[in-house]
Amino acid sequence: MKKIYRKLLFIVGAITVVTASCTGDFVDLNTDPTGASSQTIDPNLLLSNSQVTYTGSTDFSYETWRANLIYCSMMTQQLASVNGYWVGDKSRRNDAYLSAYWEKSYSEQVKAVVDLLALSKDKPQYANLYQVARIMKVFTFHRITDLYGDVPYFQAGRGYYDQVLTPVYDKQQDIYMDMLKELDEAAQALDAANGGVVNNDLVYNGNIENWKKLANSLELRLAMRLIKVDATNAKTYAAKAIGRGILDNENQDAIVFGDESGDRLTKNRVSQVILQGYERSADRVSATFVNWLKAKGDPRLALFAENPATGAAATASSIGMPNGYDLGGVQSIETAPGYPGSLDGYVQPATKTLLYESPTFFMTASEAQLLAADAVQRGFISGDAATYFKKGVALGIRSFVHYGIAVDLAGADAYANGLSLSNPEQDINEQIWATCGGTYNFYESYANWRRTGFPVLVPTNYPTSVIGATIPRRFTYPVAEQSVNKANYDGAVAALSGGDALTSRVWWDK
Amino acid sequence: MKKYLRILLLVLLSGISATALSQQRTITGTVTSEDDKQPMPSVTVVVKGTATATQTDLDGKYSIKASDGATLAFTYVGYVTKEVKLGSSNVINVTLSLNSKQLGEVVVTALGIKKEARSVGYATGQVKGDELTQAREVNVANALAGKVAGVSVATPASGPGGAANVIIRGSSSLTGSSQPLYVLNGVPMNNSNSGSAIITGTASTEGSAGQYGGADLGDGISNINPDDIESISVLKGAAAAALYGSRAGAGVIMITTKSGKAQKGIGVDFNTTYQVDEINDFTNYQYVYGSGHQGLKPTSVEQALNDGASSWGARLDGSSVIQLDGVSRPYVAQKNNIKDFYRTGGTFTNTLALNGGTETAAFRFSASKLDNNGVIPNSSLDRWSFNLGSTAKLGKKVTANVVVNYTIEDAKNRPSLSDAPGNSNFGIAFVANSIQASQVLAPGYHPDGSEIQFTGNTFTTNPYFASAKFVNDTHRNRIIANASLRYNIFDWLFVQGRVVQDAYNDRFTSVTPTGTAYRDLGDMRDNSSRFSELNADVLVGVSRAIAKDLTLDANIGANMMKRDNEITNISGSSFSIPFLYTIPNTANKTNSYFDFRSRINSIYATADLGYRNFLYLNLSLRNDWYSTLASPSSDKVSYLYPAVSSSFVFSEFLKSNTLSYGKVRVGYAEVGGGGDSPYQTTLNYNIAGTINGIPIGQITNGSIPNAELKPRAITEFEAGTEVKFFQNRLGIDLTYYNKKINDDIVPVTTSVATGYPSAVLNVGRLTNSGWELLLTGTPIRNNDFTWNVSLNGSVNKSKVESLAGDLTSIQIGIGRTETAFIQQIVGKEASQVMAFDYSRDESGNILKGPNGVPLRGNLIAYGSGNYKYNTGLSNEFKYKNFNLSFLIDGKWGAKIFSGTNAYATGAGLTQETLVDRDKAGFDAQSYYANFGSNVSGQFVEDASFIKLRQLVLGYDFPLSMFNNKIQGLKISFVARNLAVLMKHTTNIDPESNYNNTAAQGLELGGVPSTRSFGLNLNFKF
Repeated sequence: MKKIYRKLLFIVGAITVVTASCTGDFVDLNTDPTGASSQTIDPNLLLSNSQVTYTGSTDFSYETWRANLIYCSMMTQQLASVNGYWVGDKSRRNDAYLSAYWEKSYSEQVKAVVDLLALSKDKPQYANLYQVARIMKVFTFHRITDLYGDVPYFQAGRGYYDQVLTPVYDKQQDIYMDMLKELDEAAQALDAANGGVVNNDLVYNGNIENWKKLANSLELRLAMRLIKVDATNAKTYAAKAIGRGILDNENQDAIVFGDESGDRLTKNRVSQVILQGYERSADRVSATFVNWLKAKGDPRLALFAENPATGAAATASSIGMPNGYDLGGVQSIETAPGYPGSLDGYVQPATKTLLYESPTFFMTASEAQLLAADAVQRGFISGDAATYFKKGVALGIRSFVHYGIAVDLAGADAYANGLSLSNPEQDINEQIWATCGGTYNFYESYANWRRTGFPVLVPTNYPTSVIGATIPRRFTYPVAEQSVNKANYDGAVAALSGGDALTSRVWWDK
Repeated sequence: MKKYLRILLLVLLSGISATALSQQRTITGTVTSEDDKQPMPSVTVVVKGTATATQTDLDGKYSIKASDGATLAFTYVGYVTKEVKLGSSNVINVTLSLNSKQLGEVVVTALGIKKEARSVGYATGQVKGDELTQAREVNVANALAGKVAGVSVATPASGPGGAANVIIRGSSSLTGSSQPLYVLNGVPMNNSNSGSAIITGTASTEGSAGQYGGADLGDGISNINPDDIESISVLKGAAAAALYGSRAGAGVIMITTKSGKAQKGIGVDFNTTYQVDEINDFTNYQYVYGSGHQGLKPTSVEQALNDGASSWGARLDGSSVIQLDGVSRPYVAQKNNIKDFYRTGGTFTNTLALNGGTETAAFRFSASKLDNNGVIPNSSLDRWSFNLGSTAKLGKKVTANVVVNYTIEDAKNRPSLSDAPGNSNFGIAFVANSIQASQVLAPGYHPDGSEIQFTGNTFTTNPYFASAKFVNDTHRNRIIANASLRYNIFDWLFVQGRVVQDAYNDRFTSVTPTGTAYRDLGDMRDNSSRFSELNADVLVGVSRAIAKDLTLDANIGANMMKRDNEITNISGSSFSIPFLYTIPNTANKTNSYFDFRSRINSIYATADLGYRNFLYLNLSLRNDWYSTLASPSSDKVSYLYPAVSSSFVFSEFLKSNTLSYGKVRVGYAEVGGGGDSPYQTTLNYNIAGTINGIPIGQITNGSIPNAELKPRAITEFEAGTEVKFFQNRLGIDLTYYNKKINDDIVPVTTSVATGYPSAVLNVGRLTNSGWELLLTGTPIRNNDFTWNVSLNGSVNKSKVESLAGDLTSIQIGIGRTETAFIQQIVGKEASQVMAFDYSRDESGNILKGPNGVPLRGNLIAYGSGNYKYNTGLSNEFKYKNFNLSFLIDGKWGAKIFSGTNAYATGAGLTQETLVDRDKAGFDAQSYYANFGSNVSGQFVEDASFIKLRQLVLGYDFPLSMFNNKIQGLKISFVARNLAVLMKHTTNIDPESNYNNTAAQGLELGGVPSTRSFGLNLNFKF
């Protein structure tokens, strides 16, 4: 009997020891074998992520489609579409589309860039990478706040590092002041000699001098945003930025090329959307934009627009499609004045600009020069506004080389030089509208229109518009924030005169 | 007492007169079972009042010496003991009947141990195998609906191959799965919804349809063939489940498969069933105004196309109106679109089982084929199941058991649910009411193979195209092999070792075909998942009397659970050769790879003490170590949890003619848990792909990881009583429970401004308390006629007591319209259906916008998406060889947001949109569209219902008809889900949730519920 008990005791003891001691490898077991840890990951790998997601979501161009195209391009009247769900110039109401930019920017762009900053901060070998990350962060956030107003900024993307699950909505003013400070510091801290090599840089392939110029140009963009609310800082930062040197050559355009091979992860976001059959047949260049290009005799008419049926470049006899029409719905395109008999009678965005490999433009030298022209004509800096203006226009045309188009560079320069600057504020800002629209950056086109009111746009009057014949001044906050971040959401809404509405204005858009 | 006195007297008398008056004679006979007419081996035969006893042999025969006037008692576990007083004959043949009318006489408890009901200190529910085999469900879990108090079974609107939603005593998790643990022959089997990990790349157990659609790829339990099931035992509470560890927190459903019995020759059991399924069309749309817009009929093909899902046209007047195919047809109502689209489905199941054995070895082998044709054209499910159960006695002390289950399941075109793309259910529900879909939309594609669009919105796929051309196929090979060896060292001491491997390979292929309106070049994915779970355990058990009147059953054991799930996803888009659906034929390809590994080590001990036959105490203790909680910076992987329960059979002291049995029980238990998914404690990075040769790194985690995770704990208190009256003809079983889920490990939806849509947290506390009642009765019982009635009911009150930190709500689901949400809100019942109310001024007047449209007010909670009250009423009548049974099942207290009604209102289909349509200057189309979007609360409906769930009419052929050449022949007419006796929802079945996750209360684009009728034939020889 005793033997049996001893045996049993042994078995039980053995089981216990084996079981308890087997937890030794649990940490290894609970580490994903298909990835790397924060200790082993090269932070440069997140730079490419930050940049590629800034071109648009990896989830089939999610917010590019909804925010950039369906809303911004319609509101700025640079594209037009008869697809009824392109609501930006029609009903103007689609809560989910209005949430799209918020959802994807925070969960893709912000997630990547904030982590990149965390991984590269205070590490000498990543000093330049860190500065580049700060610049990418400003790109990321200024567009979010420009669209929505007060938004989470200081605590945003810090869910992992700070465990803040309900980030506070910061005042747009505070966000702008911080972004300007960040750019100012980053531009000065970039050091080609000692800051380490920047790898996986889709924009400049690690060229530090270009990054400095881009930082300054972005600082100029943000400074100029403040003209209506804080002219002092607008002037100070604009002057500093221009003084240190801004982009001045189309080869310095900040762009990221698409890549067909990676499918929705890497294809050009806009191309991916518009090249779908039911979009390609319904999406056209807006009459407003075509008419403007025609009136100016701008060479970009032929570069940006083409005949849908023949593919021939647009000419002075081409027509663009008016905004605010659908196909067979409540305001059908057949009823539009001058309807050419078919949708193919309207020009469409040129195929050469819509390849899967096409570039996405973060910022162009053209825009930087035009902003400098605006700064001059406002007396922020001394100089000749017309010189900046002409350079900006020429660079805007030259930018089409990035699409692989053989641009007549001399002709571009000649065209620009032939322009006069008779109404400086209007002329300059219409050109910014054209430059941004011609590079599918309707976000910026929309922001600059709100900043300056140029070009003067006639709002469409679609029967089911929820705000009548009015162009929205901002995007409403995502409905989801009311449930997952209610207190902060409520605070932000309370600070909006007019409430969380399309017609309320963000801080700098007084 | 009288009876005992009489026996005592008899014994005394016989003792006195033994030599003088009586004479010993040899009695022989055969014992057979009433249910299957089979001889019963190993039945104990005792001459009452003496020590003389014997057992029946393999043929059920016995031989025993007894005196004149003696009484023979025939006993067998699970059967009603029969006593026969000796008469003149020396042959006594006995038929024993199953003890099923006295539910709980013998219960199967944790570790598969059969215990006498009286000794168990917690509530259990028992279901016999044959209750699952006559009126069938493709997923056997659905057949439990209405049968066990406190067990809520709902079939999501995902068709026959979908996952079941089985909730025991309310939700066990705030956001995760609350599905119970299924234990097959004593060992846990994986019941995760398949496809979740495949598609989302997370190890989450939730994966099925969501906001943006998706298909329900089925669960684990649906792989089990009901014909192989001997019995199902539901262990509702934590007390019963403590021995199965973490996954048992939601309750345990123990399935015992049939095994071989010692018998003469080979027994053959053949069962065949054919059932047909017809859809229910609950829509009650308006047929006053037809296809069109702004009160106008379409006047061009373009307009007709735009109006294909828009019933905002003019009054239906029979005039000739152009339709989207360019043909003009009369402008009249088309009421049969839904009925025309769906076909009559059918399920044909054949099972052949062989069984045989000797006293030392026995086996049962079964093969089964199920062929199901879904109600959606071109969808089907085929399943082969093989089951081998064998037992061998190796010498006197060692028993070996091997049970192997093998399943091959092929599902073709699992239905897409919820959102519109590729979802035929969505498309057909909103076709404009003057378009005859079977004429205009069918066959769904043009001669060139491209989709016939029926609306201007390319994402609303033509239902005929979706069913004909989309592919959503799954293939599964699954083996569950269980081998155990038991060594009885003494008759009171054993050691048992057991190894179980549950392994399956899944393949999921989905194709968006060439010519799809929203993706004209098509795309596809081809995903594979290899899952394996190994359980190994060792158990030492003692069973003996340790003092006078005191018995002890004790076990000590250890278990290791090792799980590995490897997933490869390959996707491609744009087919180079149209209509050729292979990955190499796609222009752009992407791939991803996941490997989820986890382990739980456990040791446990149990002790059951019994004092005489009326007082029992069950104790258990378990310690788990969870690999899923390990992180370099934290060491909270271990959790120790106890359970204690007791029962007291008070009827031992209150013997009376009316009260035949009475017991009270009380128990407390805890269950720990380590969360479902590994890799949630650290941030991890991988490569998403490359762009122009440059790698793109990314954070792997979809949720914010948490290094400080600690084990989840469920604690539960329960108390109950069982009483039986009138020789067990009336029984009452009443239970109260209070269950607390603490520190649940869940991904909590966060503001995406955190960078992540969710964070993994230990979250607060959820409580469920409630009552369960089971009434059983046999109002009539005589030789020819028996009437059994059983009524079960339960009420569960859940409450979210707290959430993480200062969170007051977390979001767990969102409807496609993005105007309805499912949230957990502190202070409210679990899974609140949230939608927007009217906006009102201070005096309560509804505020309206410039167009007269009521404005959007606050997001408010309308009530829980989970049912609070569940009942089932079953009646069974037996007359001679006929039996008739039916089951009525009702549920109350849940809300559902009807996405169908929200969309149908926008499409001008609901009756509500008739109001003021003709009013001059009133833009009804814009008004109702904006009204629906602003005030989504109007689509939240009461989901209560009463349904006639099941009807069975059977006839047992007398064996004499076949000269006793066969052992049984039974034919049954069966029907499931015959009628809805009460409901409040319009246009939808109240049971239309499209998934089985915690986010109950959302409906849209599901497969319509069906009524089934069939015949079942069982033949034994």
